[in-house]
Amino acid sequence: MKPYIAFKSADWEWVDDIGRRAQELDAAGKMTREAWRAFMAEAFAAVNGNQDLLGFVGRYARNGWLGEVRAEEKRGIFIPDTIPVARPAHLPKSAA
Amino acid sequence: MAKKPSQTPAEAKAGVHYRVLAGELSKTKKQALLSVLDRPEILSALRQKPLQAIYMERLQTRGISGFYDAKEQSITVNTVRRLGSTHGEPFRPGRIGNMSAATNDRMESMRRTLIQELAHHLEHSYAGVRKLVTAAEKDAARKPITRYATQPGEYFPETLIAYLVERDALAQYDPVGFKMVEEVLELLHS
Repeated sequence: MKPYIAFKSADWEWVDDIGRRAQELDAAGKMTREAWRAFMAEAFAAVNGNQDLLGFVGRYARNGWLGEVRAEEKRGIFIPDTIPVARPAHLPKSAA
Repeated sequence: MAKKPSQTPAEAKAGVHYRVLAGELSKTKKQALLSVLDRPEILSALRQKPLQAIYMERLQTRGISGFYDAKEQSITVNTVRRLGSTHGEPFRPGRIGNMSAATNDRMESMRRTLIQELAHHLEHSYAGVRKLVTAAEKDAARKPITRYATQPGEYFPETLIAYLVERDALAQYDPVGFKMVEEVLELLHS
């Protein structure tokens, strides 16, 4: 078996933080298109290139939001390029 | 003695288990990817609640990757795989990020992503599955096999993949999840 190469892990503290905030907002009935897109932008940064991990925010999309993003992507517009994000200062230093 | 024909086809078929299969992969690779669905329980479940579409697309690295669209009842699998980002992580129960990363093989990573998204479809389509999953999620003894499995809605998908590819490790590390998957598969096969 080939040796594993250096693997770039997701920033799990950040992922957990995003997931917690998204869940809280959704549970409060306050998830808006703009808030969801901002969470997606954060998620893109937090998963460090592992796009298989975006479902934890994608699940809060309302009808049409995912389709809108996919249509934008086909035109070359990507959420990570349009919404600046910063890792929350209160989180412990990432081990990723 | 003549072998009786099986009531359930041995492989996923268009028009039976899914309506549309699209994407840039070759026919051989599409079949290799789809073969991960070839379990009696999964085929039985899909025969009753077929997927409307399975897309195997080469998506942008800055875009949304594999996902399940509950409204469309479609699965999209990103065929772009990057060793070191999407796969190539050593399997360490409870410490690994996600199961589709726990392989060095690009195709195997995609197969696991397909199962991941299929699990969302099963949970969305079958109230009985949701009930079993919810009960397991509330069980204080559960030990998610991956970090991603701790996220809401991701416990069943990650555990289902682990059941299929690291069965013994799952049974030892998370007996609650192992039992959950066994019960789900039994339900789907009945």
